Amino acid sequence: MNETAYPDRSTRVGRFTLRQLSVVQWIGVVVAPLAWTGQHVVGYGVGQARCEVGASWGIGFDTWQLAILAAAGLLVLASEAAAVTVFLATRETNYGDGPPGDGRWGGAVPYSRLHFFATAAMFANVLFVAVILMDGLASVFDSLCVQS
Amino acid sequence: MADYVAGGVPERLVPRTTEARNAGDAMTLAGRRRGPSVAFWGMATVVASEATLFGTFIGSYYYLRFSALHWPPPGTPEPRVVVPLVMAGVLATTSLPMQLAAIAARRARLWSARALLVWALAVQCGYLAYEIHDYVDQLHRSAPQDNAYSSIYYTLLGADHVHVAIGILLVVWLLWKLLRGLTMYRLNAVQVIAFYWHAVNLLTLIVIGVLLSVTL
Repeated sequence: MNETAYPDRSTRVGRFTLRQLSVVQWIGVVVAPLAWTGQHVVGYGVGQARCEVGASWGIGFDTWQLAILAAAGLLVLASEAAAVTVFLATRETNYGDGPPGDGRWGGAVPYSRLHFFATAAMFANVLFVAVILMDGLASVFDSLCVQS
Repeated sequence: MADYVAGGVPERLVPRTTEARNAGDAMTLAGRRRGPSVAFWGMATVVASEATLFGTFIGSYYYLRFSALHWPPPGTPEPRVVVPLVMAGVLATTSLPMQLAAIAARRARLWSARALLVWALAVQCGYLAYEIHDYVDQLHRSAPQDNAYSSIYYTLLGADHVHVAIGILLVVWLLWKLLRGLTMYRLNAVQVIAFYWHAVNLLTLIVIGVLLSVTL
């Protein structure tokens, strides 16, 4: 086998360096689940505040839920955009399994990891959109302060 | 074919997993890695998903517990303490042979890797056989549909057993693949399955701890 060399992290891939793509990739992976977690926890807290002590801070419960839903939705869209950006920038990767010459670095480690997570995030984020919509809309349409 | 790729790296110097078709090449290529393999990241994603699943189970357990007047409800037996703790401890010891097998594979010591996997597999199968027997035995004393305590108890314990069973199937598959020697793919498999077992063993200790917390 030949001696090994890897691309430097400051190497440019289109408009981004590998280091920048790495940051964008993690945004694509972690922002959507965090957005849903935040929506769920804050939405639950708003409901508890309303039902336990009657607090609403002058804003209707449905308005709270829709605002939280919108914020989470925007974050997921940003996350999806990040995933698609990395996917397109690294679409030549082949995980090192293709014939010689395929892919810019023939599957060097940073490149294939970026593409793998970008692909997974693109699909997972679609699921998170559905989860966030169901979570938010159910909070609006279900009866408040009663056992479901 | 380009002579040079991005960053001025000669094309011929870029490693490919398909080049590692024997133990020596796999060891050499693994030694040149600068980070975890994609296979590792894939397993890390699986483990994160499973951790989320068990997080919801455990959250449900304590939500139900702190909403209930009696936990477990009158008439429902408390879980035994000593035997489950000992069994969980025995299972946890299999992290050692699994990790040693990963190290042995990384050093191209194929027979050591196989022997360590067989050692781990024997203990894991013994654990699962006992636990299935015990699970069925408990079902004769209380049923999952009896009350909320029984529902979450059997769900949590059963889900953990399923993960142990999946781990055993992975080790059997791995041993089958290693019969035909070591490649880069199989080296990745040994390493990520060892990682899976570390996660399952930790999960088992947490699940047993949660279920036995009722006796405190």
